[in-house]
Amino acid sequence: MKIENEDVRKAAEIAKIYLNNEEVESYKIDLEDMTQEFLDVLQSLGIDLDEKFDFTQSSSKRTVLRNDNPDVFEETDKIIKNAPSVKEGLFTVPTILKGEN
Amino acid sequence: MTENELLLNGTIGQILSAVKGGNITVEGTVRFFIERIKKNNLNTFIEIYEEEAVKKAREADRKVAAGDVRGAFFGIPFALKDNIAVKGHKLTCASNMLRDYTATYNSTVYEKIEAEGGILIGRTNMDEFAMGSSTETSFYGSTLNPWDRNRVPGGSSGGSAAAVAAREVVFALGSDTGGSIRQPAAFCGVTGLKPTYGRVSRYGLVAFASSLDQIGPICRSAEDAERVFSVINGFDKKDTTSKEVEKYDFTDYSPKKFKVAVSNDLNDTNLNPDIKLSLSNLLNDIKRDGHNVEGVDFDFSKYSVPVYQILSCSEASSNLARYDGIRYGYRTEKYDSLFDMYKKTRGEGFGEEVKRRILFGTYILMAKNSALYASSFKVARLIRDKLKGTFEKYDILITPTTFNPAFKFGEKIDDPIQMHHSDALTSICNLSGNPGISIPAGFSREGLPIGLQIITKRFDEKTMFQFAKYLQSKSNWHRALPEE
Repeated sequence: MKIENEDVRKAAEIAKIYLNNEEVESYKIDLEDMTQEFLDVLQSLGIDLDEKFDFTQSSSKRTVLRNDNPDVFEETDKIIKNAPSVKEGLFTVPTILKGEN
Repeated sequence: MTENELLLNGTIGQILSAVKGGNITVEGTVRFFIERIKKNNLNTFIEIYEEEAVKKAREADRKVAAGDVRGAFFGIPFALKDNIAVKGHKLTCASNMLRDYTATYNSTVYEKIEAEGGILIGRTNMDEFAMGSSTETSFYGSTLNPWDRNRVPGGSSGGSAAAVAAREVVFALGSDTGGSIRQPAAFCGVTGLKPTYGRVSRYGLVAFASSLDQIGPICRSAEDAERVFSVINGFDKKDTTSKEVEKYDFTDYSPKKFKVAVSNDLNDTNLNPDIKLSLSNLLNDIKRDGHNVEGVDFDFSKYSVPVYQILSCSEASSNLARYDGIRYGYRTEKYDSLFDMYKKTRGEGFGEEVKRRILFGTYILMAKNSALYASSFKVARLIRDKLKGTFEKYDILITPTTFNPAFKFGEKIDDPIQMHHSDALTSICNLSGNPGISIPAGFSREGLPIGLQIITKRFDEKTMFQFAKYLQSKSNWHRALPEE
């Protein structure tokens, strides 16, 4: 199945992964091969790509949710220690909003 | 049995008895294995917890002296794949992205084994984020196969499998999303189990594809694997996909006649002739013992890999979105904006295979490809229905674990499609949720281990272990050791 460079660039943009032109070309071939392999399977099994799939039949009938009980986590310092950049106990990020201070 | 023989080839039960009886010390046992890790130099471990393990071993020896010996794994050294959390220890998934990350809580499986007295001696090497079949995608370099150092140990749990095969530890845990326990177990000549989905808590396992991931043991024998499984299984409220079924307990082997189905994959022309010969001989042997053995006309492996790739990559693209360089993990040094930082962080922090899978998953989940995603469920359902139908007539389904024995380094790393096909015979269990175990079933002419996969219906690990223990009661392949 033919995939365009723009498709790969769009996927990389959504996935927030920087790719150079060489990587775009290389991944495009892999994505084409992987997609084509799947289409071949559908064809050999006689499965119609456009036939709708009923997802309600495939998942658990029971929704599993925990009760939303607040709890105190005593070791936030350990979580903070894993962050690459922290200031006064807060994660720091590049400036998002620009304007007058 | 000498102390050396015991530590190299004893079962968990035998080593435990020797510890309890004061015939061996826990410290001596722990040091024995740590010395082997260093001497073998197979790159099986990313980190050895020597000081901590020796300290725990001494405490255990004091308990032995005081007559206070409790636990199914008292004093038994074990290892964890480096995607299973232990509080206060690094948890890297063999990725540059997480090379400095320290776990802030314990996985349920670790807590269960520790509560039974097991002594953790380190975290094992793996393919980056469990994506690979050779450990060649590890940020920390490849693990070597103890049977042939020029060959891969399989993956992604290659470090755990090679460590058990080279007798650097008594048992190890791995994770299996498409075959990551069973394929390396086959390549290294050890026993590896992927339990039924929902049997073992995934709490504290770094997520790859949540609907397919399961933690399981890699051991010297089916008996040991059953012992470990007996401890780590069970409902966990911290994992909403864990099932509220009765906890599995170890069962003694009692001979019975099995109804055995053999998948048509055994007749596939791509199957290595040595594997075909070994398994054919084994099946004839099983027939001679009076079991009912019949072929089934479905080539499970023909359909599994592309479907597995679609589902696992789609889930991975979502699960790995969390690595953004803000709350934890690698962050790029130079950037112009928030989005620029995200892109460079992820572009630099992830390896090639991880990026390939995230991109494929993202591509599949784009609106225009929704029919591809939905269709993958149709094929997965077909595989599940075929398996269900098989187990209405048979107790056991047998397949080879892999089409070929361990391959050489570099042989497949530049051909992702070929590499992905290493999971062809194992990923069917992940797509269907069924349990599967790989046990050693002979050697190729080159002296490489061959694996046999046993699949049973969901939550029927008992039949699987009974059959595996029957096979291992009449063979010695699982006791063979690589030359040093």
